[in-house]
Amino acid sequence: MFGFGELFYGFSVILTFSNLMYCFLGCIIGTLVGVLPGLGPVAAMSLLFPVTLHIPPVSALIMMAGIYYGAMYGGSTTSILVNIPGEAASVITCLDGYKMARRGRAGVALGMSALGSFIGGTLSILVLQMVAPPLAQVALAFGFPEYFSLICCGLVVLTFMARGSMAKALMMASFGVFLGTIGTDLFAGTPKFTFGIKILYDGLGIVPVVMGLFGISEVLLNIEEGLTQEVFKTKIRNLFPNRKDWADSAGPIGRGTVIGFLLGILPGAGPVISSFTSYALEKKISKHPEKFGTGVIQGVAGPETANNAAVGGAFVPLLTLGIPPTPSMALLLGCLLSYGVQVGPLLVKNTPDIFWGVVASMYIGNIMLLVLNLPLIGLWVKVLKVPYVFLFPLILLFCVVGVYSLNSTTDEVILMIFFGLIGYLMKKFDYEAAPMVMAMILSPLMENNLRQSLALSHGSFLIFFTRPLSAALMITAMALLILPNLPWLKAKKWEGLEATE
Amino acid sequence: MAWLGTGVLICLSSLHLSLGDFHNPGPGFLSFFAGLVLAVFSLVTHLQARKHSASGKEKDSKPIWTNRQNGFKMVLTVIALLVYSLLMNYLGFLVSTFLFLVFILRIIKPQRWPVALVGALLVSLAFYGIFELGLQSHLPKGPFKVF
Repeated sequence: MFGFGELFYGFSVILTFSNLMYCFLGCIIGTLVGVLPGLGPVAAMSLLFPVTLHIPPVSALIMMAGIYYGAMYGGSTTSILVNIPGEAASVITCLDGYKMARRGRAGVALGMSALGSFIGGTLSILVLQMVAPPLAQVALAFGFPEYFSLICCGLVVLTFMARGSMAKALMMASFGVFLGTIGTDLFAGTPKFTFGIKILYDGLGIVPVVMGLFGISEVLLNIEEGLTQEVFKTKIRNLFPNRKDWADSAGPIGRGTVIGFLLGILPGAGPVISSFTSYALEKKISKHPEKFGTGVIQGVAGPETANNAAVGGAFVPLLTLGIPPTPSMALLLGCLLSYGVQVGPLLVKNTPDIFWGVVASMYIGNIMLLVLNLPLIGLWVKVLKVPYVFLFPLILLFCVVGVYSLNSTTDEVILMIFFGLIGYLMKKFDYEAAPMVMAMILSPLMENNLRQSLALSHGSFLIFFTRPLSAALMITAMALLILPNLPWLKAKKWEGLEATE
Repeated sequence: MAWLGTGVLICLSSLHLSLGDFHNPGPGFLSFFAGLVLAVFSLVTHLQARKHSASGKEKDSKPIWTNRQNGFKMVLTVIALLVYSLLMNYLGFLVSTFLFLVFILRIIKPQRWPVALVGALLVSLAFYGIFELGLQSHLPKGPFKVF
């Protein structure tokens, strides 16, 4: 019942020396890239992508997943001690976490962040194991029109959730759809937008694009803005929160778990939006909203729980529908596809070792991370003290070597540098990279399902509205496109989020 | 306006690829609509920005770089990365990485010569050891076929 029987099978998969080592390695690398500003989980997963091709698929997925949720733990350490987010999902933790550190409560902030992350992460895996198998059964009823409508709906949700202008997010999504069409046409065999460049015939690689947009661009921005990294000098003691801290944090942790998991399922929302939404909600319902930003524990507990809970949520669409909701999940999908694993509703049934092995590994990984982030916090503080002058050349080298080793060609390295520059300009002009990357990843799937649907309906677009599930998704997408632009709702959109900025 | 131009260019190139018809969409079908949406929304964004600046809600264009010297260093880093990736095929990973790191540690974030030279050498060797010898990434060896 609720998948507990299968979970034991999952534990039998993970409880081997090699898989435990891969899980531990993933958690360590994840925490490390989370702690280091400028190198996020996407870049780290891209870097290890070629390495994973030499190990069994279950081990590869266990390690990649470990990096993803490990980074959520590590990111808060930098936010609390340096006031610079280690990675995007910990931006909001800077507000109250750093203030707590300045008031001599760095230990409690770090402790609550790790414990909240553990609770949120573990509960979200519990829900994942209960929800995913029945959802996969429902997904079996999905045809071409349903998949197309789901992707459309996902992309609209993604632009709706984007911080800042929705028009800009829609621009990025449509540009991403275009980027995804580059390559050889599957139906006609015609090269599309390849300009005679050999590496483009197979389509734009995810890894060079992602490394450029998230890794290189961050370094370029830090060089241009002259990042200075000063670790707040304080003794880290009393990592365990007291009774009052727990009483104050219980509500934010509970709400953060629910928000994180639900938003994690949505395409593009992921840990970043979850943490912002949790903070906005806590501030809104607090009796003392004016205290937020001065170092209240609720401002750390809620968002840190939410960003970890979002990881469990993000696995739902990937493992049941084969649709990745975040760039990190897209890399996991790429990893599975490279092994020839059939990703989609049949994954749970056909490859239970992968599904249950990963679920079980996440339980163990969260325990490993709790140990890594509480007793061993001093180690990460030391890592933080490495000056950025030595760090950024290493990040650049990791990106170059990671991309080169994919196909042993410098053409993809040049492509990465090009996207690094584009990413830098996008950051300067407030364009979000996530909608672009997600649309680029989903574009081939979208095109295939659109063309198959139209062939099925003899060219009628009504097929997307005559099938109930597809119609519901399309109507949701349209409502999300129209509603935020209605004058009385426009003012309310992300009122809470704007208040946090 | 660059986005508007990009959108229009995508539409024109898609037309060239053939749109097909609704019954049998051609290779340029999806990209045409993507280009169209990009062009329309970039026009909307441009008009919104103009309206805002006309009503004085937004300050007139702020400089892209907060510090010109750092901005110049950023451009130099991009050029260095490009040269590095091109040189890698001719000089091999070890030599080109060493030169790249020396440039970064002397010009972008200036360090003393001994620090730059020793640091660049150690990091190049470490990367070669980890990726070439450990993970067998097949890095380019160039004319200096060491190890």
